[in-house]
Amino acid sequence: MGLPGEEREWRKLDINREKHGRNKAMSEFQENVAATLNRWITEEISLSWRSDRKGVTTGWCRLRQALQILPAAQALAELQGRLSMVTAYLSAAAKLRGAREISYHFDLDGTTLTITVELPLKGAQIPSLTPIFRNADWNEREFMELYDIQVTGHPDPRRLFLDPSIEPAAFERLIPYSTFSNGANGKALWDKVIASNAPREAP
Amino acid sequence: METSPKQKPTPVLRLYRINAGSCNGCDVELAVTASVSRFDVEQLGCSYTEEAARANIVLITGPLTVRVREKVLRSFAEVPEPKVTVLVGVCPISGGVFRDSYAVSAPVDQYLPVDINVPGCPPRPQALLAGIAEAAALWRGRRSAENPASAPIASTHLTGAASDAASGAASDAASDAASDAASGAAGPTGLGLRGKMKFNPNACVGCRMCEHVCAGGAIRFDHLQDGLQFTLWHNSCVNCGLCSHYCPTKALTVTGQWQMSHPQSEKYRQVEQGLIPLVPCSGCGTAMLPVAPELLSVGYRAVSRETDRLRTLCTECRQTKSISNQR
Repeated sequence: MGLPGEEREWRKLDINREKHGRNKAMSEFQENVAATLNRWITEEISLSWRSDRKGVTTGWCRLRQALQILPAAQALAELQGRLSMVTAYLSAAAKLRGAREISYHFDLDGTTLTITVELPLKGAQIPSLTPIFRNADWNEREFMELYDIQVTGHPDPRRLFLDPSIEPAAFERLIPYSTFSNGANGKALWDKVIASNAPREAP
Repeated sequence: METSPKQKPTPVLRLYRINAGSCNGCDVELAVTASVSRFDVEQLGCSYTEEAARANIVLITGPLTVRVREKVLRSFAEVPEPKVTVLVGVCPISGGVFRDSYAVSAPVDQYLPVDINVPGCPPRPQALLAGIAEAAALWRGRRSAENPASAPIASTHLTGAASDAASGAASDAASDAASDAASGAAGPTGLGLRGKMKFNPNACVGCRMCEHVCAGGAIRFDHLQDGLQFTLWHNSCVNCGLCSHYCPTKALTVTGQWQMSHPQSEKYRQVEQGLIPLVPCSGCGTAMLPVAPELLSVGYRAVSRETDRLRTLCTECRQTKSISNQR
């Protein structure tokens, strides 16, 4: 069921040419991103790119200083990028170094670029990206109440989900889950259930 | 009260809904009682109102999140006395699956007086009607007690589902048969809709898998002197059926019994309980949990004489016997 020999050769050439073109465009794009970031941050940043078998490319970058997220965001806004999502988290590995991390996931015309910053466990501060990307608003307000991170320059730093009466940094105080699933409330209710249904109660 | 309702037709009781941070599951079921004629609260002589100040019966859904707590209490205070309070769904009653979360203040009865609980996740419309019928009867009773001049006006003409529900509520339908009959008339429970869980202590092997998978924390086991006691609290059960799904011997089964509304005084007595009595090991006499025949049929195609002999032994004796028999 093969194609005639000559046609097959032509098609191979086409595919190679297309691949070559794509690769060239991708490397130009990557260089452009790196150059723009370097220009805004005014220092050489570490940026790596990974490509999977299906040709999906993802970028990974770790900033030397948390403050650099602001110029980085400006650079990506200049490149018409969008902010997809912000994730604050406490990883065991980072905790050992006495650090916490926030990852900012950007979308650059279909390619995801994740920029990670490190913050100290105590007294963490990060500039707000909301003036640059409006959708950072809720993400920042969310991690402000879940973690011990102060966001500076947020235009509207009210509580997002938690009631103001609840102490901030809920994720740092109340985890592990097993602690609150054995909570006093549940115990009190069960005590009443057991007391009301005591077996062989004297009639 | 200066104006006596004597000689007047039965006044319509006004229902006021308060959503205390509900997932909206219960609210959707409540919407059914306002929009589907079969389940309409009108047949109970009730109607919904948007004004707290004109309400007689308060229906509360949701686990009372910390965020809405003050607003809920304020709205509740606006409803004039005498009022009857109905908690709808397991969330306000016990906290349901949200119990013990830092963002939740349930149970609601810590903050305000409660009269009737309608558990479920969510309760079926029939159960809601039953609860509302109970609440209406209670309100009319209170009103006539407060104002003896007015004749008791408890007789409301009920039709269809409402009369089933009301009679179920009035006679405290405890038996499966009664509830199945009522729900059979009101809705097709035969379609696999989940109701109360039922426990069979003879089939239970005490593996406690049900307790582990229970989404609402509604199951617990207690070691008592004469056996292992199983307790399931219906006021925390979300009828997910996971316990039954994972039970290796099907000691837990789902019934179609949806009638679970009850007065607040009965709150902690809404349980399914069973005791698995300990038996002595035929070898050493140590008390042990019996091996249920249901377990043997799960494990073996046919029970051999050898297996039958080993089943009455405790783990230690079984180990020694089965090794020594290998030769």
